[in-house]
Amino acid sequence: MARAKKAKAKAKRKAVAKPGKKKATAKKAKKATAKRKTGKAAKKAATKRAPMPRAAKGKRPQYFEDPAVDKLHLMVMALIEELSVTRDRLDTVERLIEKHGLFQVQEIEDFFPDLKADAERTGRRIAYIRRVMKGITDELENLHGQDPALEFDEVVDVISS
Amino acid sequence: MDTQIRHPMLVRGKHDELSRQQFVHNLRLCLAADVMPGNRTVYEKRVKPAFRKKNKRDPKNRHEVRREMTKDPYYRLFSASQRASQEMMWDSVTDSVERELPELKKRARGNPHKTKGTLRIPKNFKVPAYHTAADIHLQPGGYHATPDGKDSIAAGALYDRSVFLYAIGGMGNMNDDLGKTVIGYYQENLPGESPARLLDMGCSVGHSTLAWAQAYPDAEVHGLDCGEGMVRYAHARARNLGITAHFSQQNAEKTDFPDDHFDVVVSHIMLHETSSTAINNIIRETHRILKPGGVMMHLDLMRDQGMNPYDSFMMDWEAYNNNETFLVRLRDMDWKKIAVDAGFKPNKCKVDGSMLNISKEMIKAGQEPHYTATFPILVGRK
Repeated sequence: MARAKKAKAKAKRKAVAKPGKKKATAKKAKKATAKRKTGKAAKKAATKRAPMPRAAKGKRPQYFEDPAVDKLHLMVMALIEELSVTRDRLDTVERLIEKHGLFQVQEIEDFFPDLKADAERTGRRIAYIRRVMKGITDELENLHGQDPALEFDEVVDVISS
Repeated sequence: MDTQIRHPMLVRGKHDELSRQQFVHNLRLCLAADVMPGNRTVYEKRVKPAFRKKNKRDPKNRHEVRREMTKDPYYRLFSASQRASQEMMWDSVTDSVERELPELKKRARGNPHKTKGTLRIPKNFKVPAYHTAADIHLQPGGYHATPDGKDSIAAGALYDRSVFLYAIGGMGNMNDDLGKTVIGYYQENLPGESPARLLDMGCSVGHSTLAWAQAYPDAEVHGLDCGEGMVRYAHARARNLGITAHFSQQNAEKTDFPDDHFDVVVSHIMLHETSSTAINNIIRETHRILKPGGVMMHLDLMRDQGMNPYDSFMMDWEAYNNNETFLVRLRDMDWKKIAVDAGFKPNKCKVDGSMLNISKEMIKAGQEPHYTATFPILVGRK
């Protein structure tokens, strides 16, 4: 869906770019067209077409009470997919490394980080986990804070005074 | 890598695109094998007992089951995931098709085996409303979109690869098992007959059409479909596979073939993608274009009749979640009556059935088939 949006934005950019071209003098434009007809890149541009549709027509059923959960579920599905793709790509890299004799993939299995590498890894791993868990733990910060968290309207009152 | 045969017209895909397609393929396998069966457990252990407690009886039909099951969190998560897998499937293949279209279109113009297959595309073809109301099985743009303009093949290229992923390979490496199923039925039940001229209605990219052409190489085999990109791609696919068949963009409700023209008219899961009016027109048209003594065989999905409410409810899943909406109506219809109303004599038509060819082959080989259901076939002789 994000891709469809991107494509739309791209099409919009193109549409915006067109009137600008009209500003060029007629002569210049004519010359450019003539050039375009013979150029290889122009040939390529001519075969470029509108993007294929990405969304199916028809109302999408709502599966959960809160429509946000439907969206969240789709995001989780996409993440599962992309992680799978990344693992496949890593697998390809490992196989190519072995094929070209850079090192044996078994070395990855047998790899044991030294103390320094282990500390760096642990630090990075913890930061990553914290980033993922942030959504859950965020509210705790407010609960533990000296001042209770203000409601939106209360903040509006503060900034309006 | 999956086992779909990489014929010259099949979209290739780059590393991550293929990886996404592979993921969808495996995701659907897990959903079918691990998650979907759990719906029955949930129904038997949780949903049905609750219904019984409240109503002092069991749910009496699929609609009652549906009302209860769609409230259950397990079924909801299954449905949401199954729906997402379908959307992800189209998206993963669209990436490849969009990128490879210029190359595919170049290949579509060739005829490497010099086959005599023909293609007819009429001017001003009107796509029926049952195609344009909602995109059937969520294919963006449906069967009919022509996003690649002139000589459009995009819809067909997208469909050919995606159907394999959709069926988790269950329709064979050439997606032709439904064709083979009806061929098997024909050969078993009408031994000694062979068609000189055959029509496959709603042929899409010719998966089943080519199975017929291969089974009867001397026959004149035709395929028609409402989707321009479908039949253009079907023509290119057949030519690149070296199989002769004739494709045309036509509505099965009213074709341009003369009366008494075909020995056999078939369709393979097309009827449920039409409408209440269209199905009557299609069977009437079948009767018109069949030669006297000619045979019709329309295979589709299981009717409600004779099914227990839970299984029948699950059979409706694609209707409610995958834009195969007419399936709900078709499953309640009296198919034989439609045939009789269309001109077939009551003693010359019936609803028969067949197990899938792939299941039969597995049984023959002493293996346990994945699927043993009997698919109904509306059979009639003019």
